[in-house]
Amino acid sequence: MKAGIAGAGLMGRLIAWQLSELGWSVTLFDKDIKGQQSAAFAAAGMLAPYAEHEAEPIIFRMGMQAVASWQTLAEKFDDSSWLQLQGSIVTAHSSDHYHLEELIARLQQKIPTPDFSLLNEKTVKDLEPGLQCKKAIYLNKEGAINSRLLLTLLEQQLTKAGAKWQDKVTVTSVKPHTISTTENAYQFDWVFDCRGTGANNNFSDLRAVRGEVIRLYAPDVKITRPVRLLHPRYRLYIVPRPQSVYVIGASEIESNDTSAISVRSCLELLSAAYSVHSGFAEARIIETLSALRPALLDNLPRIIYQQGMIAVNGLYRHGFLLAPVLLSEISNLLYNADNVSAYPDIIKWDL
Amino acid sequence: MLGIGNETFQSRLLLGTAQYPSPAILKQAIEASRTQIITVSLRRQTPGNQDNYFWDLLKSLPCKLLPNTAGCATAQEAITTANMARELFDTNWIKLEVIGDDYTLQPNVFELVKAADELIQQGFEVLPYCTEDLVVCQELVECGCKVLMPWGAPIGSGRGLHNPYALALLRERFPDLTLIVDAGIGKPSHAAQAMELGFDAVLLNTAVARAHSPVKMANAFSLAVTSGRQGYEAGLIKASHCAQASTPLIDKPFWNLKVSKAE
Repeated sequence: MKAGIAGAGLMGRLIAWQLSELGWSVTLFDKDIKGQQSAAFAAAGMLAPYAEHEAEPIIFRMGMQAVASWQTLAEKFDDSSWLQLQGSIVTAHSSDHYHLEELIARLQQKIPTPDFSLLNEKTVKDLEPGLQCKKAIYLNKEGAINSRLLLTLLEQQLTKAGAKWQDKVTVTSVKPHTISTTENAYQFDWVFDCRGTGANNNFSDLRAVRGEVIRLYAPDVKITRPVRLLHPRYRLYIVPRPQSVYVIGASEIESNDTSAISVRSCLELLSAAYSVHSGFAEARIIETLSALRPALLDNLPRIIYQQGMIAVNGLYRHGFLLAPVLLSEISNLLYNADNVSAYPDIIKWDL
Repeated sequence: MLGIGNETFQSRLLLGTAQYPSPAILKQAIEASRTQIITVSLRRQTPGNQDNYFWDLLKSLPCKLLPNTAGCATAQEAITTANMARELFDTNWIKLEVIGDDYTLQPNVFELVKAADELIQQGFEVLPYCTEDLVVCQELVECGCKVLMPWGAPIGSGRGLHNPYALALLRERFPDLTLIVDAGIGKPSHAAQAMELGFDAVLLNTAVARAHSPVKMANAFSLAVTSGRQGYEAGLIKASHCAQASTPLIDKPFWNLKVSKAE
């Protein structure tokens, strides 16, 4: 079988990889095959089903399944250091401790048996000696993915498996069996539309939500788990990467603006990071980035199934949290279409 | 009916559009609240970028849009933002917000009065987010504001009406002005309390958007506002120290009561 995949971000790569493992001949199309313009490239790669449960219960269910799926997928890699699952920490400034209580109340209301523990100054230190805070919540099922490392490893695996890359092409439309670029039209047995914000001809309620991220080199900071700060106005997380690099994110702005990070966002993200750990004062800013998250009206993912085409979109800020579950839903559609999906609400049959 | 500018509205609840779990839930909450006026922020947008899905969505709803100047710290910034809003949303209405303190988001009333004065001269219908200070309100009225929006408590704090005495005084001093409690409301009972004080409307956002079920909470606020208003219109009885039996007790002459006994 021949597959054409439009969009070589996280979702496109995962589908390509799975299909090539199943013996398909795969071609990927993107303006930028390195994936540097994809939402996944900018993402901190948080796997936080608990902290992200607030949107809809389905995000929590899919997220918990995804954490398990990532572990299975990681076994297929020689180097699985991209997956870190040692839990995450949620904290707040002393004056905002009520946010922690509010999060616990939400977890207890929305999740049947929430698995979390409360930390005090001492138990925080036991877990993360480099972190100072009076009160925190430890979510031991959470973690993070080194997004860029995984994108690169997937590219290598795909190339090794013989996948073809159509780099620096602009896809103008994705229809059943056909991917059209500004130059040509290509025919396949199946096509997959994974273009994210570029796919508005298949998703009429698609919008972009701008996110801004800063990468810091901070040898004075020793934090090993993702840390989330709850604040009345800012949404902040700090995700450690190898070699003292920390990803600080992320703003969330209803806009399709891809211009550089704003001063306001820089000030907010950096001062919030500094308030969590004073060691960030002498950190070096190694990168600032703005990217667009593709989102649908309900902020939930959606898979459109047509004979000859599967389109997937709306991963919003949950790309790494949802991708492996969407991947298994898609292979279910291809191979066991009679199976009942665990998430029937996200699949639209267009026959 | 709630009157603002030369328009009238059935609903006395104004709703903010930020912080909802998704645009779909925002839409449902707006419907459930029965609101006819929704606020929209221009904050964090690049000037000149008019292509915005979220704004288009708000424009498509059957509600009057009230742009705000959230995030502005000086009169000049607020005036610039108001003019951008007039162009973007094709309305001369502006919820004027000039913040003086980052932690409490308390309005800077000095800059607020300056901005209000200028914007009214430029033909705006100014709805100023102010404190409950009587003299500040007098100044705003002086420069031509027909609506006042004093805070109940700091934005997003959900603390309810901190100073009901001052709010009641505003109602007494400005009987003909449109008075709206803006910010600080956390529970439906807070909204009902504001309406019982004779306020014309309430404006809130966080209490609905961050509720576990925003749609249900939107309906709860709608009912609270209607109930508080009807209570006010029906005429509330005065509280008294002495019980007044609702069933006349003819067999208990007043001289039998201990309190009225001559010592």
